[in-house]
Amino acid sequence: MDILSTRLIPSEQAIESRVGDEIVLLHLENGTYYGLDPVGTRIWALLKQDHGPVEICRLLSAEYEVAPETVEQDVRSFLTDLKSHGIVIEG
Amino acid sequence: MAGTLEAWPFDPALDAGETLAWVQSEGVVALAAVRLREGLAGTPEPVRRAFEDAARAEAARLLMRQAEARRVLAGFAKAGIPALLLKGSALAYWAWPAPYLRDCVDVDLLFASREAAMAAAALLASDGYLRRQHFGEAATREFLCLRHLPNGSRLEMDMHWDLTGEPLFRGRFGFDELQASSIPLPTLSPDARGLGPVHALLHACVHRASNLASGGGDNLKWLYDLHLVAGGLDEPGWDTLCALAADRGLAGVCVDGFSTTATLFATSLPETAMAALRSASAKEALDPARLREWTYFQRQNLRALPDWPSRARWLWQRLRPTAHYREDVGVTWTGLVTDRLQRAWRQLRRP
Repeated sequence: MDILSTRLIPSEQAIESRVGDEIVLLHLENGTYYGLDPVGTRIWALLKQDHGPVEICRLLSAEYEVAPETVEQDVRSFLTDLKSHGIVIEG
Repeated sequence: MAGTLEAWPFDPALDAGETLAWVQSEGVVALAAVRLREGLAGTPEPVRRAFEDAARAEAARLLMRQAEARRVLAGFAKAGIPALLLKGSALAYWAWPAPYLRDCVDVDLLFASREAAMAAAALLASDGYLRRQHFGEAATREFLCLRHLPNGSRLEMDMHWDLTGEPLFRGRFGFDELQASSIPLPTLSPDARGLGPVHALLHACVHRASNLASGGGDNLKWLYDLHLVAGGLDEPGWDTLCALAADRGLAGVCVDGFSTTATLFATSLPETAMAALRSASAKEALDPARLREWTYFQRQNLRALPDWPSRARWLWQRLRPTAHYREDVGVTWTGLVTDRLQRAWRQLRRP
């Protein structure tokens, strides 16, 4: 199933800290951490506000004035990575 | 760190890894990353990237320690064991611009007594922490609780029952006094409290002075602690600090610490307070300018102990760390004895 069609929520094991313009995310159990750039930080904020992946793509495409296909490709890759490390889970 | 540079001051070909390693050894990598991010013209890109990556890793380690500290402090509060956070573990949350900027390797906790620290360690043991005592109790006033995590990292809690283990500075402050003026650290946890600004500043001076002889006292991280806390102290705070420093025989180490910090960071220090500290320092027997001399420092430690049996015990336990120390550091008896003899020889020959 396409990850963009999946409802995703932040894992309870994922905690965050702001580092300048970025957010650092840590998975408490496996120790994996991510430094999110401003776009990643925006996606994370939208996920926490309970926006679904399709809605996130639509908002980013409008905010950054980027073609929807490009945004979808990037968000898909980003969310797949977060999910594979347990930072987000299916809700 | 002093904010006086406008451009990268080193050779652009300087190795990023070496630069990073040096800054990490001073404990200020995240702070340096911020300065580079704010814009220092001509900073080589590999250096900037290496510092950014290291700052992220530091922030991740902070998150891990923070989550654990919250859990552990809640457990102590529930069990009725008062504990105060010390050094960077507390300063990160009120003195530094952001907690992740203050490099820490462990969580430092102060308890009312050795018995209280042992009770806290018993609670931690049920969470898988191992109690590690590196030196005998005549030589130190702390032990370590250590937990290995499944991901390969480890968490360390330093359990203290005095602000310092060095006989020269032991027993200057009681737990009740420190607790009475302690401050909440709500951004860490509702159960977290740290030393009040005056005691935190005195402790920072003592901690620095205790580490000068081993060559570590003028670590930039510790001096920046002094800079931030001294720079933020108000007039009544300085009055209290001067009175306490004079009363507890710590004026000299305060003057030495503040002067060094001001030289590096142009720390704003009130002249009346500095004059009062200098005047009190002149009446103290300790010469802070000589604390870098290993033999002088150890002589003062021996003098501070009440009798010869205590001195013999202290000396023996300093020279003979426990099996925990040998296991954790990974040395054999032979290696340890050789190393101690070589270090003592080097220190004795040092001018």
